[in-house]
Amino acid sequence: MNHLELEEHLQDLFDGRLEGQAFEDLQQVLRDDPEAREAYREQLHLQHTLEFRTKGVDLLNVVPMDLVVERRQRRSMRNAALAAVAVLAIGAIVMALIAARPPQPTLIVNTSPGTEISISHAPTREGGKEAPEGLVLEPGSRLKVLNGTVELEFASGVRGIIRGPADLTLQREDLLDLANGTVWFEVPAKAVGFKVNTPDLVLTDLGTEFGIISEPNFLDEVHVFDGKVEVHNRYGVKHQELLQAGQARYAGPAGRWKETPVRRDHFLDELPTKELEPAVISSEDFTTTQLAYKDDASDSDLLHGLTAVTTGWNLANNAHPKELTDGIHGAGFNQVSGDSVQGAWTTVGAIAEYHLGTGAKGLGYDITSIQSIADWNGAGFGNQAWTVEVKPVGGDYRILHTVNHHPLSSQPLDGGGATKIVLADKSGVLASGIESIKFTASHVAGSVDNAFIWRELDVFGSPTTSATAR
Amino acid sequence: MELNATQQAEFVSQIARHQSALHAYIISLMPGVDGVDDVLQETNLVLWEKRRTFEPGSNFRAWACAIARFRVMGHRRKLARLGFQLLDDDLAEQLATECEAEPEELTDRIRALEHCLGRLPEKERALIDFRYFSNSQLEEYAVKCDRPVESLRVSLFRIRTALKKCITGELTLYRNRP
Repeated sequence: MNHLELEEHLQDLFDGRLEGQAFEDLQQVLRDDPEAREAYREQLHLQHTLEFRTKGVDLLNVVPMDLVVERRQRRSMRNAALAAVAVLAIGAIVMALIAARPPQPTLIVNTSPGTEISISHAPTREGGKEAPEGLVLEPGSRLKVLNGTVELEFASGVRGIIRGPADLTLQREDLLDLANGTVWFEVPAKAVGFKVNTPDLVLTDLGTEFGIISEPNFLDEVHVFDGKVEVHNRYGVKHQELLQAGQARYAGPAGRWKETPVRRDHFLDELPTKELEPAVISSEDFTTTQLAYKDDASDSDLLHGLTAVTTGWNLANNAHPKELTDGIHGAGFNQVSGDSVQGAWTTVGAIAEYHLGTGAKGLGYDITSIQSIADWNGAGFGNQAWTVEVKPVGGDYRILHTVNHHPLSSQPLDGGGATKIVLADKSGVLASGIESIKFTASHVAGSVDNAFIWRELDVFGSPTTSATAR
Repeated sequence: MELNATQQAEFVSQIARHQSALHAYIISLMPGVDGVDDVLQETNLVLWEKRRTFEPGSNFRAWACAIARFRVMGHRRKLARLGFQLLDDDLAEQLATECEAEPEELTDRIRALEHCLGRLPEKERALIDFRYFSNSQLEEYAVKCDRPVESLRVSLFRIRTALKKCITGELTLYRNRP
């Protein structure tokens, strides 16, 4: 049996289509040939992962059983009472309503000005319902938001606001698959049990208001503003947690939930009436030539000489976050004895926080631009993904911008090169009156542990001179 | 003796953590045979019923797989009586090594698969989603997209071969650190 025949037989075996002599032939090869057994295991793993990713969620019930029991009990008591007094009247009313009204769509979509979307529907069964027309979704429909903002109105009363880009599929009236996007949901009591799947988590609403951030290169986040939400990590130890109002978590890579501040400013809860313009201008460059931006590191910016408060960095091979702001780009791997990685090696969620102080006038600093350089010799470690937050004097941190730049290949033997980001603002000032600035590393697509090598971080600006802070 | 609340939570967490390994193990013992999910659910139930007999600190995975193996063998006997062609017991045991895998290894595979699925063209992704997400027959999909069913099978063969290659590359990448 040659390799192609073996491959065909294995796929047929796992499809349940291999019979007769072909089945016996495959058994014999599997008995005799270790390489065939290895091929069997590869096919097994593919079959398992494909099946498990779609069914795995349903294999374990994520709604607490006591809640299910309680809801069932309440429903049966209510049903019994209704049946005793009003079954005929209700029946007549329901029939009249059914006769008079067309069926309500499962989900209606509204868009804000300037929004671009596409809607596709699952193939319909022969003789089944036709694909719906207009801005509506039925189970199996997929909505892609290219840009802009979209409102979701479920027949169940659930309401959601999505900020694009986003990609979601309605699986059932009470189950939404969110491939990516930033979504705020409000779930009325009658729709308790509404469920959202993302690539990292399964979320079950228990009557609440909450937000989800699911981006391809970030760990999924859940922010609960009211009520309760149960979240279940799909990976690793698959930790499950019941979140209360005022709590937020992101899905840690090992399958645990990690704490993060709850942020309302991530989410919109109303559809904007006009097109939103991005406030920050992000200039994104890349090159497959390593060290190409080595002369761009600044030793005269606001961060130079400051010691950061840091958490979560990888310090292997002498990598260190202090090298972020030393004004030195750093050489290639193993070029400097005793300092193999001349830069900061991120982990997802690693933080560097800098206290700028209140400046000459006690009003903080005007930030005019931010420059970030990542660089490595392969596997996409020269890509970069991070969030910058700023804190005004006496105020709280707010997110200024999120960077997501992954042009370099994540293949092990190539993907070397560098990326450079420069953030600026049309007005010339990104943020005014700032006393602290915080950078949080995120997921880089594809690289090992989603990390990158951050060579330099420069923040430019000057003391704020007038109290009209943005 | 009944477990206290903390022990029960820990036990449920162990079951959850090993779902993927158990699922892979059960498929490996009965490839291409319906009922994998049923056997897994039966295994979960038996695990829960026997929770008091599990000794904390001992090898949960080996214990769970032994119970799963027992359930699979019962299922295989039923299928054999119905005339299904199954892998020989000895060969099935030889091939079923998935209980040796750490749950994290299987998690890496699922992550790698997600990456690789993301690289598929939309039509190919739709075919994979239909094959593994819906309970319908491929013949039905052939009618919907106006393609011969054999052509879809050839596509599936090609996509699955490509996915395996891509996953192998991704897993290599996971091991390649600076």
